[in-house]
Amino acid sequence: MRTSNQNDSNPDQDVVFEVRDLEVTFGTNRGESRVVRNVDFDIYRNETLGMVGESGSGKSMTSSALMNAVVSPGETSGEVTYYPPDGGEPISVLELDEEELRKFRWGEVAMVFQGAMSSFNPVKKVRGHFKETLEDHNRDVEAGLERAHQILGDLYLDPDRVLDSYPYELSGGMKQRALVALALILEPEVLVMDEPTAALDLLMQRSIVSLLKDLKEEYDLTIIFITHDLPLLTKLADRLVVMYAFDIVEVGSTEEILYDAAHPYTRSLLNATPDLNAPIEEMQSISGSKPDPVTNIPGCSYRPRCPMADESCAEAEPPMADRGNGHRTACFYHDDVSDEIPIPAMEAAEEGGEGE
Amino acid sequence: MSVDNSILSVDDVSVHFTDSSGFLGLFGERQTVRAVDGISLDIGENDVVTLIGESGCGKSTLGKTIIGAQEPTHGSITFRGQDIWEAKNSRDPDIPFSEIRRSLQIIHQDPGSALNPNQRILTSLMLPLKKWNPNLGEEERRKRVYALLERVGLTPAEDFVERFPHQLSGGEKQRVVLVRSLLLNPDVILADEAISALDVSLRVEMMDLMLELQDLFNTSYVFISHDLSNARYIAEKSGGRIAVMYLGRIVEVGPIEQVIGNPQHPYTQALKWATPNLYEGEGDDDLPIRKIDIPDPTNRPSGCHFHPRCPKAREVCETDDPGAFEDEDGHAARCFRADDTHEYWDSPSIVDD
Repeated sequence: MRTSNQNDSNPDQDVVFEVRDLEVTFGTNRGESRVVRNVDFDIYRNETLGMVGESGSGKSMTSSALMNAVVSPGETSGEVTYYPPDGGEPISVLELDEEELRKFRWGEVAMVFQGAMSSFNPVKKVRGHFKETLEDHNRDVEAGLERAHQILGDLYLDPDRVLDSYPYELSGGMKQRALVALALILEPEVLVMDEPTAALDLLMQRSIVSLLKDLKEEYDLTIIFITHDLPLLTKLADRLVVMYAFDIVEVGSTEEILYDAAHPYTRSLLNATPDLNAPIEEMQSISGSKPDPVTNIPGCSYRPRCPMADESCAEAEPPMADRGNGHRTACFYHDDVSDEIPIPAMEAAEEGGEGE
Repeated sequence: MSVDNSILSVDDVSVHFTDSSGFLGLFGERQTVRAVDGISLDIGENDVVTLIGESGCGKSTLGKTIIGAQEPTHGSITFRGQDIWEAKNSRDPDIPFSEIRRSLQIIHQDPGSALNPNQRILTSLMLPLKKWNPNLGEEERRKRVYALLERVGLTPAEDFVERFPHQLSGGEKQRVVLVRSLLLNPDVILADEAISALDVSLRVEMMDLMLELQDLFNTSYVFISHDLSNARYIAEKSGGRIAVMYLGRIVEVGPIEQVIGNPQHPYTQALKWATPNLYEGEGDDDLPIRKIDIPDPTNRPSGCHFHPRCPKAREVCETDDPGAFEDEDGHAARCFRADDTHEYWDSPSIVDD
C-alpha cells in the first residue's frame, strides 16, 4: 500500500481539500451544541480517505461542511479550501454564494448519502433524473446518457432496464448503485460518500466497495468514504481519519492505523471490532459512554473512558503529535499506547503469518 | 439435524405468502413468496442457533415461526412434544398455548419501539410479570425487577425504573428489553437483529451479557443476524450452531468452527468474503458471485436456487435441486460440491470467464 506523507505543508502531495479550524455548531435549548470542533485535515488528489467513528462523533457533519451543506440552523465556520485540478484558482467553499455553490456541488464535488432510497423522486423514472441533472448543469445530454450507460454497466447493472425503471421497481442495492452513477454523471473530481452502504446487506456492501475501487481508477476520482464499519473501510481506504468526540484524534495511512495505532481510542475501537479471525476471548467493548455535544470536557475528550488517563490529560488538550509518514495522533502518551493497550487480533494474525 | 434433549422441533416447515389482494389478483397469476421452504431444525436446552442471510432470505419469518408467532403453511413446530398450533386450536392440550407463548420470547431490533414511550421502565417491566405470575405480590415483583436490572448493569435500579424510555441510551433500552423477556423465565429467546442497532463499540458487551444470562437462566437463543462476524462471535462463545439461509432454505448448517472455518456452500463462501477482517492483508477484490442482485423471490431459479449467482455452477445445477449433504459432525450443505462422488463433477461448467 502506498504510504502518503501527510505533513500539512508537504510539497509532494497534491491537495484537493484543505480544512482548517472547522467548527459546526447548533443552538439548542440546552445551550450551544458543538458537533465539529476545531478540525484540521487535508485530502489528497486521487486518494481514498476513510473517516471512521461512532455515531455522533461528527464525521457526517465534517463531510457535509466540505460542500458547505450543513443543514440550517447549523453554523459552519473556519476554512474549507478546494483546489481545482490543473492549478486553477483555489475556491473558498464556505464563502461561495448560492449560484456558485450550485455549480460547485455535483460538478466538482458529488455526494452520496446514506438514505439513497429516498434520494430519488418516486414519480420520475431513473432516466429522468439523469436528464434533468445534465440539463440543469448545461451539459450535452446525449453524451451524458452515453456515459450513464457506461457507468451503470460498470456497476453490474443493466443500463436500459435501470434507466427505464421507476425507483420503486429497483431493489435497495440497485438504487444505491444507480445513485452512485448519477453522482458521477457530471464527471466530478471528488466523490463524498456518507455511509453509502449502511442500509444494505453485507454481500452488497462488499460488492459496492469492490466496484468503487475500479470506478476510482477508471474515472480518476478522489473518494471520501464515511462509515462506522472499520473492516470494510480498511479494504478501500488509503488513509484513515479517526474521529472521537467531534474532533480528529488520529490520522494516518490505513497500514499505520491498523498496525501502529497510537491513540487509546483507536486501539480500543480495533479491539471492539468483531472480526472472524480475532480470538473471541480477547474482544471487548469500550466502557463508558460517548460525550454530549453540549458539554465541554476540559483536557482530552477521551479522558473519561481512557484506561491510561492521568491528571495531565485533564489539564490540557493534547496536541496532534507527529509520528512521521503523515501519521498524527492527539495523545500525550502516544509512545506508550501500544504497550498499554495490546491488540490481540493483530498479534494473532502476525503469529499465524499472513492469513487468507 | 437433531439434538438429543430438544425443546423445540421444527419439522419440514414452510411459510408461503400469497398475494391475493388488489386488482392484479383478477388477472395474471397469483404470486407466491416461499419465505420459508421446508426447513427442519431442532433447538435443545441451553442451545444457541444463529440464523444468517441477506434481507429477504426468510430468516425473520423462520424465527417468528419457531417461537409460534407465525403459523406455518406446512409442517409442524413441537414444543416439548406438544404441537404448538394444535395447542392453540385444541381444547385440552398437554401444554396450554399460553404456557408455550410465555416460554418463547422475542427481542426486536429496535428497542426504542419495543418499549411504550409513555410508561416508566418500572411499569413496562412489572406488567408482564403481573400477567404471568398473578400470585406474586407487588413487593416480590419489584424485588425481581430490581435484582435483574442490577444484574445487567443498570444500576442503581431504583433510579432506572423511574425513567422513561427516551431517557435511556440505545444500549440501556436494549438491556431493559432483555430484562423484560428474561423476567418470564423463557425457554427460548428469539433475538432478531437485537444488536444491529447498537454502536460497534457496544456490541461485544451486549452479546457477552446475553450469554452470561443464558448460563444463569438456562435459556436457549435463536440469534438472527445479517452480520457474519457477530453471528460467529455469539455462536463460537456459546459453542452453538450457525445456519445460513438463502431464498427460504437453510443452505448450510453446522458447528460454527466448521461452517466458518471450512464453508462448503459457495454462498457461505461469498458471505465470508463479504465480511472482511481487519488483519488479513489486502483481501481479494474479485467478486465471488456472478450476479450482485438477489433473484425475484416470487420466481426462484430452477434447480439450485443459487446457480445464477454461483461462480461454481455447472449444467446439473440448472436442473437438479441439491439436497443436504451431511458429514459425521453434523455439518450439512445443500451443494453438490459437498458430495465427492456426485455427477456434478462430470457436468460442464456454465460459468464463462
